[in-house]
Amino acid sequence: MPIQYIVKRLISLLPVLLIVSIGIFGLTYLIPGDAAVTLAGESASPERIEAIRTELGLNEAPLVQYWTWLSGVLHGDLGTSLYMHVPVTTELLRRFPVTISLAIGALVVTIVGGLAGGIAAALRRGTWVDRLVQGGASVGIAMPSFWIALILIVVFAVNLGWFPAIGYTSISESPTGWLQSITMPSVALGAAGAAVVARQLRGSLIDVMNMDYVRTAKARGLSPRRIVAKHALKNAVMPILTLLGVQVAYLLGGTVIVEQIFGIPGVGKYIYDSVFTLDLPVVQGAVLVIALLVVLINFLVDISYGFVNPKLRQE
Amino acid sequence: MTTLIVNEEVMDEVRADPLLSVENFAVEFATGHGWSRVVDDVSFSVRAGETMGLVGESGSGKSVTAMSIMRLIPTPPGRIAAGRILFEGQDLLALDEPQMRKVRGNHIAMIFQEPLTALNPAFTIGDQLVEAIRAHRKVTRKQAGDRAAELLDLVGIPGARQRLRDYPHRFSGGMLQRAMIAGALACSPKLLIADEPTTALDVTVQAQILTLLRGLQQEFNMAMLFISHDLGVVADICDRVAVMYAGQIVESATVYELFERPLHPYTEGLLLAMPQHGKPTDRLVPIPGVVPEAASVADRCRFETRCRYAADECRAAPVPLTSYGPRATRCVRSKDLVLGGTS
Ligand SMILES: Nc1ncnc2c1ncn2[C@@H]1O[C@H](COP(=O)(O)OP(=O)(O)O)[C@@H](O)[C@H]1O
Ligand code: SF4
Ligand SMILES: [Mg+2]
Repeated sequence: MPIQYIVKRLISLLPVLLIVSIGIFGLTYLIPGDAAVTLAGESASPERIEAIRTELGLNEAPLVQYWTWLSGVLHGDLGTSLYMHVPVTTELLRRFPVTISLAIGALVVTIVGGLAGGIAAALRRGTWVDRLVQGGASVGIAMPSFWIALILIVVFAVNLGWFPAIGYTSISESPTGWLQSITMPSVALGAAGAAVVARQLRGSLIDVMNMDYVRTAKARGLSPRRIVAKHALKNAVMPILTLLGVQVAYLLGGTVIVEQIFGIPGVGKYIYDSVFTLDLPVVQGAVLVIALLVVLINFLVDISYGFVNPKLRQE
Repeated sequence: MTTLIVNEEVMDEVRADPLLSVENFAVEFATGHGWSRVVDDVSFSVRAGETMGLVGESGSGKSVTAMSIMRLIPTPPGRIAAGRILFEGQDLLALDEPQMRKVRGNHIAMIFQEPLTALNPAFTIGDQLVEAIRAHRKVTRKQAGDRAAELLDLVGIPGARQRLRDYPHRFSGGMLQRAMIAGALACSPKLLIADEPTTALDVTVQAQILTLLRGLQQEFNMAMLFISHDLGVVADICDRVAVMYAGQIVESATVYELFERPLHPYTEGLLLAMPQHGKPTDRLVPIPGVVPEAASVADRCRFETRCRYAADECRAAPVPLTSYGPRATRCVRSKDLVLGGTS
């Protein structure tokens, strides 16, 4: 793939990053009243309020504040938690792998479930398989992730005892323990995505199977398996890739709830806890990391789109 | 009443075992009100090395017939209602799907009307040629790649080896049709079905593709079923021709005889409507009206609604195809009508 294509995409990211940084920095200004007073909480000493004011640089002009914050961010300094007094960067680095492993698990559920469901429904169009997938997809889209999480906990943890209801085991501690602790959260988080992908893939695969080049492939005596897996899927997957970028954004947002329910000490739970304590640097830092991740993934989707679609690549 | 002269030499050839023989073939499609028979009682044959034309207006059932030979009619909504399709004596309709796959692209290849969409936009020309070769030949990727370059060269694409790496969108319509022909030749088929291969191309490219097909057909002694709505194109490339109307064959003859003296009023109509060298365009007479739905005229001569020779006897019953030596026609008045050819 030509380097220019990648460079062009990278440059187009700059305005996005600028807007993201301004939005996250602007969170300070969404706090009602005197931010330092609100953040310090009830019955805080004047010294504490003053300390927060200095810590966040609230005395400076907004533009100076933004610049100070941004240069900190660019140097990897996201400030210090107002409550835990731990550098946000340190804490995020500790929690990041946890959330990433959950996100990957959920993405696997989305992709594998979506592909399997979509292909099965398209090829068995109008049969009970098709109806099952379509019904399942409707449920998957309609049900919020916490609902799915609760059902999974009741069925597979409480009744069957296959998985622990809550808690997280890191992969370095015990790979099987990790897999067990991550399975239900991944399903809860990835189910909606799988449903969306399955539905979309079914539609585009049915369209693609009616294309002239599929007729050509049949006329050349290729096997149905090859026609689907090679000729149809590569074209049917193109619209899905864009969709996948959006799904990953949803999915990362969903970690806030799912990590809370399953007691997983990741970035999502960090955000959840900090929002309730109004721990501004933590919220800003964690949201920034998630936002950057979303941008990065959409960038990768863009690149892979160019990879699947030769027209984009060659021109 | 005119006598029809039967040429005994031609009769011998007709009796020789054909490569492909379609016999009393019928296809139906499911509609809101039952089965609609869109191809009915179609019989024709293609001999080894010969080019047989199938001509008729749009909607007359040519593509359905062609796709049926490849067994690529979607079932449902379609179904094969009657007949046999013998290829080298084997009834293709009796084969199961895996057996049929060994025929497609291997013994019988097919090219289509719309070259721009006929190849997969997501894979290179070379990839798709290699795939066509390896579908039926146990050769390495490398050998198949060499053969693919050979094939592209054979169909007249300059710089063939480099062009293998191109994606279809880099090719023009004419070049794509050449690439499709290369793919069709990949396994040296005995029969090539060409369904309106030049209809979507402009006139000069059309002529080039016809020349190419004619040359390849002779070089490889490959039989061809050439489908077109254009009698002029058919005259250019075919040895014999069958004229289709509303799902049936209404006349078949050698191209020469058909042009010299058509036996069916529909053929005469096509000839009168055909632009020809040296003929002023204001002398062209289009056939009035449109092709009726096959089912709506199934109880009589199907051309009766548009025929200027129509009489009471034409409405009485469906008309069978009657042979006059090597020729055949489906007209109750064929013996007393003297129709005009192009001479
Ligand atoms: N998949 C299909 N479903 C229903 N009817 C069809 C289908 N394919 C073709 N037909 C009908 O069969 C008739 C013949 O079509 P076709 O063979 O494509 O004509 P031609 O190639 O001579 O223009 C048309 O009336 C068309 O509507
Ligand atoms: S049978 Fe009658 S209507 Fe039909 S083509 Fe002959 S003359 Fe015309
Ligand atoms: Mg057609």
